[in-house]
Amino acid sequence: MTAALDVKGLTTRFDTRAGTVTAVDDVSFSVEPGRIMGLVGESGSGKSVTGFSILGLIDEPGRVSGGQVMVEDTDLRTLSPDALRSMRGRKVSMVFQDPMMTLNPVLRIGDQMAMAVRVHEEMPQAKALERARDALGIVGIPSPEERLAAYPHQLSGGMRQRVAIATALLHRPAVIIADEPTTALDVSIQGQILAEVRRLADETRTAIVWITHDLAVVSSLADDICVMYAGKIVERGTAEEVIGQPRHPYTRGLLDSVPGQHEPGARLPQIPGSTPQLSHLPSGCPFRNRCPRATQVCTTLPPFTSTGGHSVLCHHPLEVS
Amino acid sequence: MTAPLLVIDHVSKRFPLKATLGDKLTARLSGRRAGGAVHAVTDVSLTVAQGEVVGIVGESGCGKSTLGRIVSGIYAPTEGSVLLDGQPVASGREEHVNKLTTRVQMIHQDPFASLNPRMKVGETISEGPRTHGLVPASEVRAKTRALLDQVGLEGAYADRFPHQFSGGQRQRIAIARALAMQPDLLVLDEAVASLDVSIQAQVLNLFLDLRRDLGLTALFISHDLSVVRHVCDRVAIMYLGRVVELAPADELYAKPEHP
Amino acid sequence: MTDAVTTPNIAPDEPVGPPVETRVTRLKNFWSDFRQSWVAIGALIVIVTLLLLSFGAPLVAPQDPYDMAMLDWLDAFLRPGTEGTGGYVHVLGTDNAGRDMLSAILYGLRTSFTIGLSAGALALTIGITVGLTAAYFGGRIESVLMRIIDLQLSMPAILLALVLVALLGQGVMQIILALVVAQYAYFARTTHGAATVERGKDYIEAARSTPLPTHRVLFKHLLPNVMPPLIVVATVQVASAIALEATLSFLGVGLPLTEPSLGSLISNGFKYIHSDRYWLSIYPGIFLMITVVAINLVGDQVRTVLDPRHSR
Repeated sequence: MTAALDVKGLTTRFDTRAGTVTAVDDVSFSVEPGRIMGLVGESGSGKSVTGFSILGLIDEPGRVSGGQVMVEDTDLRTLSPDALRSMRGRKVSMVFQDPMMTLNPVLRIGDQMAMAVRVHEEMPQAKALERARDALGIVGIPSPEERLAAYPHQLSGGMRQRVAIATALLHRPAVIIADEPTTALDVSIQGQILAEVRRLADETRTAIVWITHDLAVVSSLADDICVMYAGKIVERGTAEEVIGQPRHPYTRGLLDSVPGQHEPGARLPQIPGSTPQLSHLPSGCPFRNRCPRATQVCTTLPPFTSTGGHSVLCHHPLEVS
Repeated sequence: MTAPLLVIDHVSKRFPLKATLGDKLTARLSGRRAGGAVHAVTDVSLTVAQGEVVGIVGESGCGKSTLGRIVSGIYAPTEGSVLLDGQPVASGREEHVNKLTTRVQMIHQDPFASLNPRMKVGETISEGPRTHGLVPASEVRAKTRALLDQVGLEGAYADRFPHQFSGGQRQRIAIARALAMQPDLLVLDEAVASLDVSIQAQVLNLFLDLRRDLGLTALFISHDLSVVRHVCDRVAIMYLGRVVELAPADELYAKPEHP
Repeated sequence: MTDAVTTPNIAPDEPVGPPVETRVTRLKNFWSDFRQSWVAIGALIVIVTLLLLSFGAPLVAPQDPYDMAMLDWLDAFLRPGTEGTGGYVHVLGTDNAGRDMLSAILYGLRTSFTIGLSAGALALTIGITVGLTAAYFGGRIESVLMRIIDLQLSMPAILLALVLVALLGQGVMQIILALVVAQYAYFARTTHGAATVERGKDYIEAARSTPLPTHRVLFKHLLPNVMPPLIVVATVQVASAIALEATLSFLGVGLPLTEPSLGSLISNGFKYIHSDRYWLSIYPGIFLMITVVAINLVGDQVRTVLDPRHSR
């Protein structure tokens, strides 16, 4: 099966006062139709910048400086700004953490969704509205007909996020990139939306990149997981592999530090130190000065080692039991 | 059994809705009172014993943060009272609340917003004790360093500004600021919610250490049941402004009775 | 594992960012951003030069225009570039009383700067106090104070200043007072706007719940965080104070010609503008324009640099 989205060697740099920093460093992954890829990382790991880089939405002082972004045999990186704009929303869509970033507060839901349809396809308003209504139905919004006439402020946060996802779905894109779309929502609403997204990927065969900091979310939602640290993908595999048998010490540390699996009141296993500044990375493995397994060899950049589809960027990966 | 340290007694908090001129006019004409009110907290009673950590869990908008602010003396309750060792925490009502005690300190959710960006962290930590005369002027510097050390930061960082620190480090600074007041009760309002998982574990561990070393009493407000279960003795679950369930942390896990 | 884990070289929890940041490095960063615009640099150089020349006027100017004894009727209305009885060239000509225009302009500029800067500083102080009080205490205090400010801002500043000067009489002090009354409202509104945003932030709540005394919350926590927009307003308001003073003097209610300001010089020369003696009005006018434009250009760049969206 060919991948819906195939990213190779994507690199994004930012020019800051402190010098040039590499926010996305040689990132490669691919997502097949109907699969959900969880891109996990802590703040500053470059996971959101990766999402924006795929869509070519990086502004000054940043720039995508290398790599390939193949969406159904088209390399987005080689397209002209106009051609790229016509791909966005049609072939690749994005969903943001704050739905109000996509929703216009002064327009009715139906009108703005119809507008989004007609930007890329010529059709009468009535037909566009029909399309919008269907999209709302797909994301599990009850009585979509009535919602079309509503303004964004009349909807709850969860509903707004569903509308944002529905808007992303309007053109049946091959790929949806979702950047922390449920982080601002309550746990129960979050659960509902995750279930809808899972169903959506299965039914519409859309490939979804789900960017999040929350391991619990990806472990229940994603088929594949990429763990990012300091701009690099440090571990990549299926959800069962990465969550069940993490091989990178960082992933292991992340999983261990979640409370709930430990004796109440006991100290939690913790990763020492703080997330590094991209401008002050250690040489070699970026995780080495927080890593309990680090040795002299870690001052050189480790290679990607794979067992099956499960790859890890580490000199001393944990053994698979 | 000794009397509890903190008594929250039938506390309610209503926020008056801002009445517009039109509302006032129609109210005047129809002879009714203008403006409604939002009931944020309704009839909550809770006690916290010395050395106990009580968790308050609920979804956003359930009134848990409002309750935390009432206990911290930032809001005054519309009805009911909050007593610490039998003394009220604050006086006044609506907009002009006078906090009466330094013995309750609060730690906010977002350490990026809760530290004055234009004040060195050393001054942030030491200004409370200095203004209240808790520490002799000659010992302020040493005390500040000791506090930074206690929360796992180097004393030399006192001369830096907040923006030079990461989220987890800032939250440690906020904890040091609260501890500097030698509080009897800490109110932690989603204190780890905005932190990354690995950093969250560090801060939770710090809290557990401090609790063990200092015998802290705390109100731990969170939306995350697993966090609360890990650090609390008892947990109160709030829903639409009311406490709907109150149970020891370990029992709660076994049989959650409410959504 | 084959190679033994030798040194788990775990670094201590280091702060992020540059190792030591002080107010000096902040200033350096500000300067390096400010430098990005050549126009602003040029404007700054102009302002500094004018400040030096005007406050150093007694040393630089060829003549003391205040000293009537030094004026000679024979020198009246000399064209720019002619040599007078004093034995030096009047670069910008002389006026009806034989005053060297260049000297008069430099002394006038000194008066204008003095008035503009002191009015600006006073208005800033009063405006900050009013704005902070309104924003921090809220409720009825806020409504009353801000309605007064709104009322005042709905009137043209020039009208207010005119009425005040008419009531108070002529003189530097009176003018400054009139300008302060006319201008503090702008500072108050800006302070209020910025402070309303800041007062809702957690660090203010944290300071109040410590609890810290009100004056400390106001001046140590709230004030430093509302300063950036005020600095921008301050530069613009100094320029507008200078222009306002010139307008008042031009209209004849400002300063007398014995205490020349740019406005009174323009006003004086205006009488002769139709008799081909353009230099009496035009040159002070050009200096006024350059000064006001330069201050505004600098203010503009300060705004750009302080804008959080601009920061790198």
